[in-house]
Amino acid sequence: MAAVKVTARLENLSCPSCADMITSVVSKIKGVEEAEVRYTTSKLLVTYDDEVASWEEIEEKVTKLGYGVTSKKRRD
Amino acid sequence: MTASLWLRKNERLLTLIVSGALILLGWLIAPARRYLMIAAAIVAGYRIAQTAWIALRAKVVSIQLLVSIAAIGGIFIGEQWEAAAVTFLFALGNYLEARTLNKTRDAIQQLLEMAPASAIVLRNGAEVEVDPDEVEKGELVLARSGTKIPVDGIIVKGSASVNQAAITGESVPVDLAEGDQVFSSTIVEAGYLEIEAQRVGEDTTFAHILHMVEEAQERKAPAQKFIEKFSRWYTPSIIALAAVVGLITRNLHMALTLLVIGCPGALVISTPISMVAGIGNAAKSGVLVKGGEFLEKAGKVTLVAFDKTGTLTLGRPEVTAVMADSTSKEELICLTAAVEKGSEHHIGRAILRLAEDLTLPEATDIQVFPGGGISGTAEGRKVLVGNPRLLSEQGVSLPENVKEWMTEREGKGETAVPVAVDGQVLGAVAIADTLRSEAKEAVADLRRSGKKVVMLTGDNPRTAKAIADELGLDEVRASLMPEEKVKAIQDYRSQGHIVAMVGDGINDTPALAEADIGIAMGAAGTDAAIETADLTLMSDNLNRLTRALRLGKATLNNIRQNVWFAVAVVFILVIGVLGEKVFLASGMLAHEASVMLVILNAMRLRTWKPSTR
Repeated sequence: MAAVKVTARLENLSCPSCADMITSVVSKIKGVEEAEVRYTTSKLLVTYDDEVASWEEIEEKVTKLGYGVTSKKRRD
Repeated sequence: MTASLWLRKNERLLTLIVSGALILLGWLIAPARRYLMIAAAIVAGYRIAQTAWIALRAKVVSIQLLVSIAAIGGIFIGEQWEAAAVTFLFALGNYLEARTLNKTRDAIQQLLEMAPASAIVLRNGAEVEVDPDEVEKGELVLARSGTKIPVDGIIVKGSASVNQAAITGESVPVDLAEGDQVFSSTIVEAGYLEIEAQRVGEDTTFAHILHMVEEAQERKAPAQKFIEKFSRWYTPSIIALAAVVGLITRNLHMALTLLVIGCPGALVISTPISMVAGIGNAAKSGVLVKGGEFLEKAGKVTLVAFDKTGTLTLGRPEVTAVMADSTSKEELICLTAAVEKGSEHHIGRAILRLAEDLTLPEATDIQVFPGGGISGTAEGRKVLVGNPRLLSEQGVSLPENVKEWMTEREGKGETAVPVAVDGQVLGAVAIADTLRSEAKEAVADLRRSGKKVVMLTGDNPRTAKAIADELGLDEVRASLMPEEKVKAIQDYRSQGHIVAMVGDGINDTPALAEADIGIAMGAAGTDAAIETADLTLMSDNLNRLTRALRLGKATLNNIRQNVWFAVAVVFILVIGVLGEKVFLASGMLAHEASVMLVILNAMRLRTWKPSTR
């Protein structure tokens, strides 16, 4: 397995409780090892196993929650 | 394709327009009102319910779930208008808040825009345009008028006036020439430079600044953590309260309204938003803050302790006079400079500058006495340069005439250092450092704002006193060893002061760490200083200090306004709901309006400027 780390910028993030909610939802996606949404900078930091989960899957979930992804970058 | 993309991008706005129009129609066409309101609630509420559902499946009780229940419940009990209003206002509020917040968050974006887009390097004798990240260390970079310098480096040829606002926040250009250091993202206003690249891409000072600002904005202050804990407790309690109220009073309307105000919106954002805005403002003016809590602390400072050299003075001392007894002045300087060779101390460097043209003998057995002086052997003679305390520790007595000469120089604010050769004082060297032109004004400004201003220095009491009188300081503590500076700060803190220590960040590390808030100044290019300090002034100007402290105060006030306002709103809402004065629509309106007001109040900090008095 390979752990992939991604930082993405979200749009429409208006309340800290929503940040907590996205964190919980993304954390529960199978294959996601770690997720954190930072309210003040509107960033999603996620670590996932790319054999189990995919970025597309995570992005789709976040988008469906109502938060668009404006940019993403792999961190190493 | 483009139409569907446009639709997707503007979905939120369209939803709002359609749902708003339906509500309006509902008010105009009374017979169809119920259905139009239900339609409006569905249009505005569809996304909310979707979010609530996804979150619920992940076992998260979201705000969206509360709003959905309230809206569905509203329709169920025959309050279609209330249901439509709740969903519409929630969607509208979120839309406006997200848009406004993005402006607050864009401090980083604004900084990013200052980054250079390309670099011109000299490769095999030809000019090549490359991405700034692809410049290799040691390569020669060319910068012409009107372009941004793409790397950190040293000017090897040419001269130019350079606007360093991206780093220091000072937009007045500085003249730089061969041998000077330049920073990435600064702008060549006029001139031509050839620069040897030293730090590139992520290693540049500018990249570090960006990184630090972002980290600072994400760092949670203790107060913020407390509020977040509170909100995690608040939401479930309101739900429980709603359930209890619903069951006991059978008043569904009131129970649903409680759900609507279950999100402590204004309260949770009150602190972080103000801090993000304040940190962004600071960064644009060349002040780096480690985190919001330090900005808050800066606003509470009651005592400012300055280091002398390099902080209140320019840190470029020069030898003003030499006194030699039973030897020539040249001989004395020669021996002194020999042992000071390689010294990092400002006194040593001043002496070395004076001895530039002399051929210095080789010195051995160099020993440094921190806060005292230095010794070594040159031309077979043991040379000791240091303050009287060190001399007496080494068993060297100070002759009366040298003592008198020193006293006279010190009375002028100069520093006099005796030089002993083979256990006998042969003379002394006097050194003076120029006070910063803005020092007096900055001290007066701090005192006007009610702060105590003190100086902590390793220098002797007479020199220190002369400077203190000149600047109008409240207090001065002289002849301090580095650990005594720490002790002095502990003293002030135990007296109940909130202490800011200002230093150059290199010699004062322990004192900076001991103070409530450690401030390093003139730190552009010295990462160690930025690392140590809680607050860093990138520019070498004391006026930035008073600005930073005032910004801290403004941020602190802003947070207080927001918190009190938010607490009052929550309180009034709960009372209003229980007293049956606030219902779904008005509850949501008050809730969203208060969130918006808090954001707008915090936004004022983005453009905050110190008032000119």
